[in-house]
Amino acid sequence: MKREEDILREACALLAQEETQELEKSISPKMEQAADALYQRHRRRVFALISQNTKRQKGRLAPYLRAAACLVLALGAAWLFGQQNMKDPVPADQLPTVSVMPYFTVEPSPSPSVIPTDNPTIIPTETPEMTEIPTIIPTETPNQTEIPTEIPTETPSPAPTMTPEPTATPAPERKIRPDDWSGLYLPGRMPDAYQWFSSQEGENKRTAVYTDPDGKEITFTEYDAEESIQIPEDAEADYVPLLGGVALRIKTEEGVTLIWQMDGRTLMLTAGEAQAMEIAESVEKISAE
Amino acid sequence: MFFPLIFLLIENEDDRLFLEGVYMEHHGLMYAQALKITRNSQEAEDAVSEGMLALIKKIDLLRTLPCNKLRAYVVITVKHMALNRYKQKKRENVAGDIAIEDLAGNGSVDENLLSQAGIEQVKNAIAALPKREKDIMLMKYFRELNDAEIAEEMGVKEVSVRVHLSRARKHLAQVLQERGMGL
Repeated sequence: MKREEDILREACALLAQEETQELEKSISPKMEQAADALYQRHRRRVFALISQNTKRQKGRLAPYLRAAACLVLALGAAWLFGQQNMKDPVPADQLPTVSVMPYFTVEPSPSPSVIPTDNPTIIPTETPEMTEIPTIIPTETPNQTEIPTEIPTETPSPAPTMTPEPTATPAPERKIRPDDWSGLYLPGRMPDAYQWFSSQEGENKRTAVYTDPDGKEITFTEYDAEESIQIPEDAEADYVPLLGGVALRIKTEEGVTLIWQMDGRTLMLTAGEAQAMEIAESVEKISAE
Repeated sequence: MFFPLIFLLIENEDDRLFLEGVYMEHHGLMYAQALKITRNSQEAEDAVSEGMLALIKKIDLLRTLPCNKLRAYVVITVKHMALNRYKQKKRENVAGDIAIEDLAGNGSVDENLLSQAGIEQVKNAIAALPKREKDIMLMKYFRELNDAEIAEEMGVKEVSVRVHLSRARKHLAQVLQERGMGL
């Protein structure tokens, strides 16, 4: 029976790998784009799901067993230490002074995780990187050089105390243009709360991701060639005039995706319904081909 | 008491990073597979989410798999999730046509038959099984789900799973015999 199961396991593993290879071969560029578009809009939810469920998953028996094992080890070590001290006591005046830290915290490293793949993707962790040093605008200094016009004749009064006016902290400059954008086009405008967050470079495309402080995303993708993007049959889609041409507008859960062509390139923007058209209208050529 | 706490944090972080890595590396295949079956972006997203939940449950197994098997595992898991969603949508009665007499016999395949047929031929024979039987074989022997897990995933009772498995093994033996393998 054991041997039978082993054979079935091996055969099923072979079959699964074969099906996977067939799937890989059958993926058309259109399907690849559609899959990528789904990934772009869905990944945050998947990351959240992984984060929540890896915590929950380990909340079963194994952690308690490990905790118990660690406790036993710690108690054992303490007991051994106590035994040692009983054999070889140290005079009270020679005892070292021990300062105890009141608490300490362990925080997960905020560094981005990089997984080697054929098309490496770097997903930044929660904290968006500050890529620019905020420009500090000098504030007006209170004028302290004024000479009083009337010179006091008698007891000179103390010099007037100049209370400097509170200066507003300069807001960091909002960055809406990626540093190393290899494409030709980019949105010229972004809604106020959004700024550039990350870019991803693919074989024939690149994507810029903009986020707001709540984590909402706007993505802009530029393909090197005119691509026809496959959309689900039941997708709610229509055509809208855009930049002198026509764009396909697809309604999604998060908002809308606009797809249009410019100078032999396909551009795709995903944003909230109210913002998408305005952002798309601002897309401009940033460099010559 | 800090030791266990640190240990747990490290492990959770490690699991999270491992699963994020799996997702990032195979997302193209996962969404393509889901889209191919559901033909609907929302359904495809849900299938991928459910697939990830199923993968989380099997994280210890996933860690032992070489990369080609891991990729296949991820794809087949999403495929099963997408198929389930598709079936649910069509409101198919999965266990509808199961006759209880099918439970008779353990449905095991003759070990000698399997040994002589060779892995490649057994694989081809499984591939030739009806779709549902093939999928249940993959759930059992590739994804290593137990009967309860298969039942939960397929939305049927455990007894139905056993019937399907028994039937699949019988068919497999039949296919192997028809092809003159090992006899």
